[in-house]
Amino acid sequence: MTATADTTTILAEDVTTPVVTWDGDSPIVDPSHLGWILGWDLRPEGLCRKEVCVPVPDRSSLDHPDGVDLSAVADALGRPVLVDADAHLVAIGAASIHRQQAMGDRRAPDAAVFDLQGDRRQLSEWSGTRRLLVAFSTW
Amino acid sequence: MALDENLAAVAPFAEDITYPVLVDTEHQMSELYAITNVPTVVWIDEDDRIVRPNAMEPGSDMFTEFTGIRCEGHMEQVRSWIRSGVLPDDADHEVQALDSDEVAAHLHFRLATHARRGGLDDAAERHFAAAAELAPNDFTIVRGAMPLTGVDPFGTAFFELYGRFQEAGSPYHGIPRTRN
Repeated sequence: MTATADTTTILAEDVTTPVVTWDGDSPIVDPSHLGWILGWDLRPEGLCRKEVCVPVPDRSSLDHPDGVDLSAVADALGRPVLVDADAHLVAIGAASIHRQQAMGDRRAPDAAVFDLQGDRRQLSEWSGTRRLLVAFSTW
Repeated sequence: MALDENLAAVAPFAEDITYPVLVDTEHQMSELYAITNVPTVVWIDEDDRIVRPNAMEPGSDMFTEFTGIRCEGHMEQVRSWIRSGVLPDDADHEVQALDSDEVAAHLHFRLATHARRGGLDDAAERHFAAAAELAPNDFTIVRGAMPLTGVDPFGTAFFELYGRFQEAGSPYHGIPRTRN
């Protein structure tokens, strides 16, 4: 299969639609787009978000002649990935450490959700008060 | 917080409600908090600590005959916590994290909802099916997919799911509730 560059929908914290070069099932992205897609930038010291950096022991595992392998980057961040190359869709889950915080350390993870007006809201907006998180549904 | 894709569908349920109503269209919260059924209630204190984890706590007795759970016990516990900081005995229950299959099921579900929205019906169907296979007892996935795939979430398919779930020992990531 030859590499083709196409707009791909990437579902992480946000939904982004960068141009991705598909090398088989590997989504290759421009390294300068990583901050936009995942919130982490690739720097000489590793993958960084603001002043926090995660070292990448094997940098060559990320590199590709056309950019960086997004699946390998997610893997380096401990985040599960699901790729559908045919549908041009990639889903990237929360870091396992982020999920463990809720279970083991009992720290309530923050996340962005919508209010009924369609505006993005952070759960941390309600920090500082005792509150119930009630998960319900229409189904 | 509704685990729903469609904000407009949630709005009628939020009429006259004075507290914030949110919608987790991407099921990110259910992934982070291991929420596998509704209604699930999590108690969070002023320092963002989970002081009582996931438990099935209905807001009314509409389904008591079906579930065996009454709401008043929980409401009294909430009052005690808010007024005097008292936590119930089950508050230190350790919730089992999602396993790798369940995590993968969330990714398939999320991908499926986006494929569906983008008109990629084959991909949507494939990923909804994969999600249900990986997490067959997760109502947020199996039942949550029903209205998105033209299946009645209050019909035969739901009762089949409920039967399977009970046969599997009613697995739930949270405080087990028994009929009371």
